[in-house]
Amino acid sequence: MSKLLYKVNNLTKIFGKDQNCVTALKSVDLEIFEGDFIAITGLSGSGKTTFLNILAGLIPATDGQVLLDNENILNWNDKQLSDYRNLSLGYVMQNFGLINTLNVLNNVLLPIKKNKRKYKNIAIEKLSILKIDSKTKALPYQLSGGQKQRVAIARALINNPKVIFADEPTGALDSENSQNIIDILKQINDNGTTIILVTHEESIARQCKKIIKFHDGKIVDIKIM
Amino acid sequence: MKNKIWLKLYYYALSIYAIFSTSFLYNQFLIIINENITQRSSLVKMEPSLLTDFLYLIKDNNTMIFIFGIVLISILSNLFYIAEFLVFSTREEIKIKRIVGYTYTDVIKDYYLKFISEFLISISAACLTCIPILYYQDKPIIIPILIAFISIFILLSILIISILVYCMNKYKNGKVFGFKYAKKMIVVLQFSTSLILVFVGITMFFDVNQEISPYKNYAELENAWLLRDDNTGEQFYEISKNPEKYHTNLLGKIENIYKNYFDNMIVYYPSGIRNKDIGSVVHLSEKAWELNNIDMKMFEPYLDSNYVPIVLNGGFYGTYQVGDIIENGEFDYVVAKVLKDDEIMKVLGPIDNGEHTSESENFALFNNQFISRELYYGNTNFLHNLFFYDTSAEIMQDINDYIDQPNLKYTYESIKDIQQNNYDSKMDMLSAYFMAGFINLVFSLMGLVFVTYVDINSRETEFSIMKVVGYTNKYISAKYLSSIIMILISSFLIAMIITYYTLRLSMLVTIIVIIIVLIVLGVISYNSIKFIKDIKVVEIIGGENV
Ligand SMILES: Nc1ncnc2c1ncn2[C@@H]1O[C@H](COP(=O)(O)OP(=O)(O)OP(=O)(O)O)[C@@H](O)[C@H]1O
Ligand SMILES: [Mg+2]
Repeated sequence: MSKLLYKVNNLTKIFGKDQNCVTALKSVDLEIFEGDFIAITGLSGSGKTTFLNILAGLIPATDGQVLLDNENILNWNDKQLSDYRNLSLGYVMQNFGLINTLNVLNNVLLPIKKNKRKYKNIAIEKLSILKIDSKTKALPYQLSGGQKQRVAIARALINNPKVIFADEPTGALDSENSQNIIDILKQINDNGTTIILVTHEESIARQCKKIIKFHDGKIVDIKIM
Repeated sequence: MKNKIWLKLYYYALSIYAIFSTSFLYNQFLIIINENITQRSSLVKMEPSLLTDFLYLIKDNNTMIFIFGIVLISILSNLFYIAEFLVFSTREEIKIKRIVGYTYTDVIKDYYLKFISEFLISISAACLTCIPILYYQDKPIIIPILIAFISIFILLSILIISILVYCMNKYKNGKVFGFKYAKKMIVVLQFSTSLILVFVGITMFFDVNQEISPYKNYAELENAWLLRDDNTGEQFYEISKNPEKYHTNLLGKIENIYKNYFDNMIVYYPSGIRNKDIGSVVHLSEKAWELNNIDMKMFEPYLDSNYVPIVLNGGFYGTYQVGDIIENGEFDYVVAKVLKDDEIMKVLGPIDNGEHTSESENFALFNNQFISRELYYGNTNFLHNLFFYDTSAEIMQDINDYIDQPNLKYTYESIKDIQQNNYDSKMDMLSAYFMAGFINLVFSLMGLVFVTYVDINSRETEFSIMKVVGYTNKYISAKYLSSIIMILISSFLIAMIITYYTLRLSMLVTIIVIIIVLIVLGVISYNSIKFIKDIKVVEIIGGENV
C-alpha cells in the first residue's frame, strides 16, 4: 500500500449567505495516496472545481479538514500556502492561466522565484517533453488551444511537484489532442507524480486509476480501475 | 474601475481644475496686458497696486508660460489616463462587437460618442459649479469657462479617437495592446513637473516671505508718514532744469526739513551721482538699515570718523579690503564690508518702488551732509517722497504747510496704511501662486492614484495566476510597488536636478518635498497592498477564458 498524501475529512463549502447560499460541497471524506491517478467526474455544478480549489488553498472551506502529511492546510497562512502551491503542487487551470504579456518560456518560468536563468534549460526540457519547444518565444495569443494547454502543463511541471491538479485539461481539445495530453499525464504519473484530473469525458476517465464521482457536492461513487 | 461614481467625480474634479486654472491664467494675462500699457504711459510714479505686486512676483512672462505649461501637462496627462482607461476597460466588448460584425468605424464612432457624452455631463456640472464661485471672487467667467470647455472637449476627443484607432490597428494585426511604457513616462513627466512647481512654490514662499519682511517692519511703524507731492512729470522736469529758481522756495525748505527732523526721518535713496570706481550707491539712514533687519555692527568703528561707511557688492570681493578708502569728491567712503561673490543683499524702501539689490548696487550709511549736494545735483528722489517716523500728525501738518508751494502741493499719508495693503496683497499673490503649485500636485497625485488603480485592476488576472503558482501576497505587492517606487524616485530626481540648476534649492524645501513624495508612496502602497491581498483568485480565473 502506498503512502497517504491527502486525507480530507468532512469537507464542506457553502458560498454566499442566507437565502442566496449554495452548498457546493457537503461533508466530503476522501483519501488520496501517493502515485494515484484520479479522475473526478460529475455533472456541471457538482462541486469538482470547488474541491480542487480548496485542496489548492485558493479558497477557504466552511468546515472540515484537509490533511497533508498530517497537517491541516486549511489553517495555513498565506506564506505557507504559497510555498505549498509553488513547490509541491502544479495546477493546470481550466482556462490555461497564461499571462498574455509573457512569452511561452517566461510563462513556464513563472513559478521560479530566483535564478530564472538557471532553470531555462529545465523549462525547455519540459516544453520538449510536451512537444512545444519550437514555440518558446511565442506569446499566448499566437498559440492554439491545445498548444496553450501544453504550455500550462509544462509550467505545472517546472518545480517537479508531488501532485498535479488538472481541471478539465482536455475540455477545449479535439479527441486526438486530448489523447495526447492524457498520454503525457500518464507518463508523468508513471514517474511517481500524483495526478488529480477533472473531466467530463468517459473515455478519458476510464484511462485513470480511480474514478471519483461527485453529485450535488457529495462523493457518490469511487471506482478503482 | 467597478464604481462608476468614482470616475465621474474624477472627471468633475479635473474639469473644475481646468476651469480654475484657465480663469487664473486668463486673469493674470489680462493684468500683464494692462500693466504693459500703464508702463508705457507713465513711468513717473508707481502706485503700490496689485499690478506692481504681480510684477514683483512674476518678473516676466516666462514664469507665466512656465506655470501654464506645467498645468497643461498635468491636465493633458490626466485626460490621457482617462482616454486610455476607457478604451482599455472595454477591450473585451470591442472584441465581441467585432465578432458580431461591427466595422472599425462603427466601433470607433460608438465608443467615442459614449465616452464623450459621459464626460460632457461631468464637465457641464463643473462649469455650473464654477460660475457662482468665480462670480463671487470677481473673476472673469464666460471666456475662461468657454476656453476650458472647448479645449478639454477637443483634447479629449483627439486622445480618445487616436487611442481607439491605435487599438483597432493593433487588432487588425492580431496583437494585444497596451501603453505600459508610454503611461509610465507620462506619469514621470506629470509628477516631476508638478514637483518642480512645488519646489519653486515653496522656495519662493520662503524667499519672498523673508525678502518682504522689511515691508512688514515698515507697516508696523507707529506714527510713520509719507509726505509726497502731487506733482506731474512736467513740474519736475522744470525743477530739474532750473534748480536755482527753486532754491529758496523748495530745495532750501527741503534741506531745512532734513536738517531739523533728521532723527525722525527714514532716509533711503539711490545717489544721483555715480562713483567712478564703484558705480551706483544707495544711501540708507540708520533707521532704514534697522528696518531692513541688517546688523549695524559693521559700521560702528567708522561712525565718528569723517568717512561714510559703505558695503560693497560681490563684484569687488578681492579688489577692496575692509578699511580701504574710496574717494568721492566732497566726502569719502570707507569700506565696512565687502560681500562675498554669492552673497546677495536686498534692501527695501518704505514704499513699494524702492527695492535695491547688491547685484548692481552698493549700500552706504546716510549722512545728512550729502543732502545739499544731492539736492542741487538734481536728485529728485528727495523731492518726491519724504518719510517720517515717531512724528505726530500735528507736526506733519506743520511740515506740510511749510513745504507747500503755490504750484506744487504736498500731502501726507500713514505708511502703515500704505504698507499694510501692500504687504497683504503681496502675500495674497504669493499664496495664490503657492496654492496653484499645490493644487497641481494634488491633481497629479490623483492622476497617479488613478493610473495605479487602473493598472492594478487590469493586472488582476496576472496577479491571480501568480498566486496560483505560489507567489505570496507580500512578494507580488513588493514587486508591483518597486515599479511605483522607481517612478516616484525618477520623478523626484528629475525635479530636483532641474530645480537645482535653475533655482537655489534649500535643504528645508528638499525635505518638505521628500515628505510629500513619501506620503504619496504611503497612500499608494497601502491601497495596492490591500487590493492585491483582496484579489479573489478563483473568481477571476474561474470562469471565462483568460
Ligand atoms: N464563488 C462562488 N459563489 C457562489 N457560488 C459558487 C461560487 N463558485 C461556485 N459556486 C457554486 O458552487 C457549485 C459548484 O461549483 P463548481 O465550480 O465546483 O462546479 P463544477 O463541478 O466544477 O462544474 P463544471 O463542471 O461546470 O465546471 C455550483 O452550484 C456553483 O454555482
Ligand atoms: Mg469546474
